[in-house]
Amino acid sequence: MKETVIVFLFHTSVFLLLPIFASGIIRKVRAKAQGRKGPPILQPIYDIIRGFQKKPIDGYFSGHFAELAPWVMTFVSVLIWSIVVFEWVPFIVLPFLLMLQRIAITGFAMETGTSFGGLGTSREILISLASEPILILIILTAQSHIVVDDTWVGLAFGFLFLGATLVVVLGELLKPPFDDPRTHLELTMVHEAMLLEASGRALALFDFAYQLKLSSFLVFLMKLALEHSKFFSSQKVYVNDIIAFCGAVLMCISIGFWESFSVRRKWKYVPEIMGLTYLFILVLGTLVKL
Amino acid sequence: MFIFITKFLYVFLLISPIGIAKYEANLENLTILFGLVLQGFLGSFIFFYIRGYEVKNQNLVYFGYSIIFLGLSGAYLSEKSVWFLFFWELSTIGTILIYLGDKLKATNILSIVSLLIASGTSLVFLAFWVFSEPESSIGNYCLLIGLLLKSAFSGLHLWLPEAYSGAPAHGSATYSGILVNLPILLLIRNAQILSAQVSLLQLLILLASLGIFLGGIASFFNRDIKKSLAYSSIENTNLLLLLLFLYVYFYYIEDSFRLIGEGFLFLLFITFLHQSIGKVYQFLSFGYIARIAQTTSLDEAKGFGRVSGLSFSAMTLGTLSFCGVPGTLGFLSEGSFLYMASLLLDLPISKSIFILPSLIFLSIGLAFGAANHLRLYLSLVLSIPQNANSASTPNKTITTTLEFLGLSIFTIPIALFIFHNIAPDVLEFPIILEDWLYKVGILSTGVTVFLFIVYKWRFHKISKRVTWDCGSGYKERDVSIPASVISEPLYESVGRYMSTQKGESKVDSFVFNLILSIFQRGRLWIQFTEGAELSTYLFISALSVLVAISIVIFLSGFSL
Repeated sequence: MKETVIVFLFHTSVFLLLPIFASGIIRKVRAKAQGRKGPPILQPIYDIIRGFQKKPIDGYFSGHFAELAPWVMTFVSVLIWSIVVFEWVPFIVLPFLLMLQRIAITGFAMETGTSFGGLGTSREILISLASEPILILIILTAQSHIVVDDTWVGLAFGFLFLGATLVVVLGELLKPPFDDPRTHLELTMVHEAMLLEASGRALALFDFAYQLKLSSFLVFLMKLALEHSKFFSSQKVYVNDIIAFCGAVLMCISIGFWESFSVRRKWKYVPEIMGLTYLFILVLGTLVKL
Repeated sequence: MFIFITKFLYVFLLISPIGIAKYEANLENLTILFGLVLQGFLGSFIFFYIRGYEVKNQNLVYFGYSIIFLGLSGAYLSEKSVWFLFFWELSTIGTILIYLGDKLKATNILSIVSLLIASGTSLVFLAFWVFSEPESSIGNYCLLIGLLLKSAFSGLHLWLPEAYSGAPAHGSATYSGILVNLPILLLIRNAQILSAQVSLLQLLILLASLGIFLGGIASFFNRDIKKSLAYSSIENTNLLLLLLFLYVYFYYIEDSFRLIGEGFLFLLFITFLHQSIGKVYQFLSFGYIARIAQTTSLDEAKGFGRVSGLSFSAMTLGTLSFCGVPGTLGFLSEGSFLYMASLLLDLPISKSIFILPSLIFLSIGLAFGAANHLRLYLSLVLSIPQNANSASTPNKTITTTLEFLGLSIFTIPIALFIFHNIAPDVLEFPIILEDWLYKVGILSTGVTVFLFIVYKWRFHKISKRVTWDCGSGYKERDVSIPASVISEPLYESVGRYMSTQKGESKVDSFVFNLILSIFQRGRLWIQFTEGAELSTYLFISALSVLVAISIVIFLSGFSL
């Protein structure tokens, strides 16, 4: 009973705190790695709060999606984050919730009828289509009881699988080499291009949804690694959870470094990188199953 | 006269499920009841839709539908007898009348011919089954081929894209949501014949997965609204058949995994609901937009949803279901399928080795299938139209029909969930899915309630409109994107292997050309016989008789 309460309190505190810091840590590490001081760790949250206080201005052709999409995005992100932390529904529902987010954001971008909205939508669907089959395979593995043995070969397999999964996570989070929002060049953007017409509270909600999505994917990745490997797995649930959440913070730092020296690749590489990752996971999965 | 018969037959459509009451409660009869109820439910929506869609010859179209539904009901209720063949063909003949609401075009005629070829060919096989001995294996194989052909199983689907794309919107909806159900439900009724050959069943599982893969990709790269939906139907029917095959495999062949088999059977019925209701909605909604745009070209009809006069919910809900948004029937179907697939991964390798390759095709096919519906929606409904000058007058009948049909996409999953909790003995969930369905029921209800609240009471209402876009003076309708801009970037890496630049399926074209080249041989034969002497004719006749006798002897030996 006491352990359950402690686990619940720990989960709740992680649920509330990690999304506030995750994006800030990435930005801070990136800035430090590039020899800059960088913004405060809580800067993304300050921006969201400031944006939330402003009334949004909409595009000429905006309609239902302009009114619905920011709230739907935020609600679904909260749902995904709660599922990843508390595991109250199997992870299988994640691709479907992500799809609802995708409909909301692409609908928002297309509805405005601008050139950049269309451009961003086209690229978003390209990335999602390339990553979704891999995500389905990963989720199926996450749901199954396949476990990597605690041998050196098992460890190597585990890390290779984790590396391949990280490629999909970077794609879903629109990080380099798939997207690079820092450039602020319309022709290179995906996420930013779709949100070009968003402002004020709507933009703040989209940004908040993104912070939650970032935390969700990082924790999901770490949980996947821990639950399907005998190497780190502990009998006590809370030990696994502590390792998972610490691992997520480490992932933030790694992504910060990764962003400091990587750039977005040409679009034609996206299906190729994803296709190779898909094959790689298939081969790995078959070997582990055998 | 037409009106009187139509009204009479419509009442028959609604009360025909009562005909099943005389039978005992078992799976075979449940399938018939399910088919009849679904037909009555969707048929009613189609009847209402026609009121707003057809201007000329409305009564004739209604009469055609009455004939179709009479034929289908008769085929469901009649057993292995000549009556079955009669009603089967009656349902096909009725389809001709539904094209007469407007002037017949070349695409309409192609559609009728495709449907007649498929129906006629399957009838030949079904007739062989009807007149064969009860335990004849060759008769059973004929039944299997006949039903797989009519349900557009992978490789036997060539007739479907033309048949669906050339029909009026309500016709395509009927074919996709109602007509295609009959052969699959009859297959469930005769599931034992599938369990006779394990290797054949394993091959069928792989082929069905391939059908999902090819259907999904062909639909995504196609540039015709109705053909794209037709290929999506191929993907969906192959998913239904895959679920059926998996049910048979785990229920009849692998006795120790019967619970998994039961799970697949339950899932099959859920997927039926999703496929039928969703496809009827999509064909009715996008078909109407195509009519307003006066073209089925996806790029030319860009943004016509905005000026079609249809409401937001009359165009959106079907797409949400096919994208698997939580709360919809599509989510219940596809989410549960993935859950079952994850259980298969835990099986011993010897039991799952033939399914694992199928998962590769499946995951890609399902992803492309969902993306296709999103692509259609974004382009047809949200893009800015290039050529439309003014908005059409809102069509209240069509809008209301679509809104109520769309509502069922969200309410049926919740109703099932609530009904199971109130009366668990009446609606029993399979043990293997019980926990999953309970959690998913809570999630679906939560998402549906949230979407309803946020839709009804907007937290943000548009008050000021300004654009930030630097479009260099171009108007939005010049820069808004058509559907091909969404599919084109993937053409080089995926599409070019299976699709032409114009979006036609390369696999289908190859098989078509193969069939045409076979017919070409016939033409050579005719040239050979033309102007020949009597001895040549005698030689051909003798040869034909010999071939016919050989076939009969071979088939008799086979059935022994």
